[in-house]
Amino acid sequence: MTLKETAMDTTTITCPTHTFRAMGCQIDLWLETDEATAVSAFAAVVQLFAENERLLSRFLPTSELSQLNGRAGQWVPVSDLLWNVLEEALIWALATDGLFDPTCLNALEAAGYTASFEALAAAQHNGRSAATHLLTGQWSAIRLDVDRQAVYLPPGVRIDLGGIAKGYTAQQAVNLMSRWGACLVNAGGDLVAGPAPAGFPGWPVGIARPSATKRTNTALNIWLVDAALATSGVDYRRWTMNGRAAHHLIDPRTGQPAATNLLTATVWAAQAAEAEVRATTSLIMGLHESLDFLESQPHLAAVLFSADGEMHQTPTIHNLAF
Amino acid sequence: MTTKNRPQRGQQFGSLKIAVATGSLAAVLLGTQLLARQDSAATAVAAQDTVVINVPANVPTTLQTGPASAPTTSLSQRQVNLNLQPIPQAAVPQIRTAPAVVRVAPLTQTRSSR
Repeated sequence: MTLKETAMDTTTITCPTHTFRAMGCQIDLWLETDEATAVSAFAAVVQLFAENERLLSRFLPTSELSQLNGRAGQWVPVSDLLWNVLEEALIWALATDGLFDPTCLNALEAAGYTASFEALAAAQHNGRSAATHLLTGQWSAIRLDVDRQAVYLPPGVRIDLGGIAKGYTAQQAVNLMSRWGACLVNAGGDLVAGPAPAGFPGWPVGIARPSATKRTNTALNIWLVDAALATSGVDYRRWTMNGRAAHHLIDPRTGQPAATNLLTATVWAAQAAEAEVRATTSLIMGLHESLDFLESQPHLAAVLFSADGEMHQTPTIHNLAF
Repeated sequence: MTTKNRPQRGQQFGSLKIAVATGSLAAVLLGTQLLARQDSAATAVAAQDTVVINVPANVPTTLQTGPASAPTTSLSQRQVNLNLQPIPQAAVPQIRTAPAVVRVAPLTQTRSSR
């Protein structure tokens, strides 16, 4: 008997790419165009991330967001960018009935997330567990003056736009680069894709298995085109707080790091903001509640990893997988 | 003056010649057609059929290369059958490539923030 092997060619997409750091993570860009155009486009995207970080970072005392947080109890006129991102965050807080909460900064800092994760990882945190003055669920008390484009934060309320600001910026970058060609952005593990590269049905991307280290293995491959794929997880960004393990995903119902039976939640959606919000809230809800919800939403697709390492998928993910 | 109505002898021969010539021509044409029909019936090759040519046993299958060389003419003891595939009546080029199995490597992956 003769054994015939089928030759399998491994194809990769070759196009200009660029990597840089912003918003506390690595940003990777791909743009299918000529080199000269790509250089200009990448420079514009680097500037976009830098500008958005300068305005929206909670770790920069001089950022517009920090200035706003420092002036709670007053009406503060804000830039177009801060206005748009805050508006989007409040819309999603409403849509998720508060499970996505941009006013959880006090709780986050009380949990020990007081500096960038790189700084936290360098030393164990010995902060106070200030459960007594947590202020979550205050998003509905924020007031917006459309005519003056001004924001009023109730006294004591502070905002964190972390994930949604990163997703918003990645979506802006894709919208910008799409003028020149097919494009893809990986912003610290959150992916946003524009049009598909020539000859392919989309951008071939992987969904990682949970990992406590920087190295990750791919569990599933999908085609991503004109859509976003975001992952929230408690598998990596963990630290110890007064000897107890803590992570950065606050459950607004308790003001504490979410007691979840999921390690990671990856959600596919048409826009980055929704993918980001649904991934975060899935993790907070836990396996069964989030899977029930995601399966009832045909416009979403998801892959969840439970604490025992098992993979759970919505049926819709199979339409994208390869 | 007397007028004679009897046909002349030369005219009679002329008519006969024409009749014989016409008959001969008709016979030739009919005969040719009959032969042609017989030929086509015996030699027409259906497009799908394979033509088998039997080469007689006493036909040399190698060529003698020169007088000094060893005898190279050999006679096959068996008949050699040459199977000739039919010539396509309407040739249509068909380029078939093996179905390619392409594995695409993912460019990047989604994961929780690192």
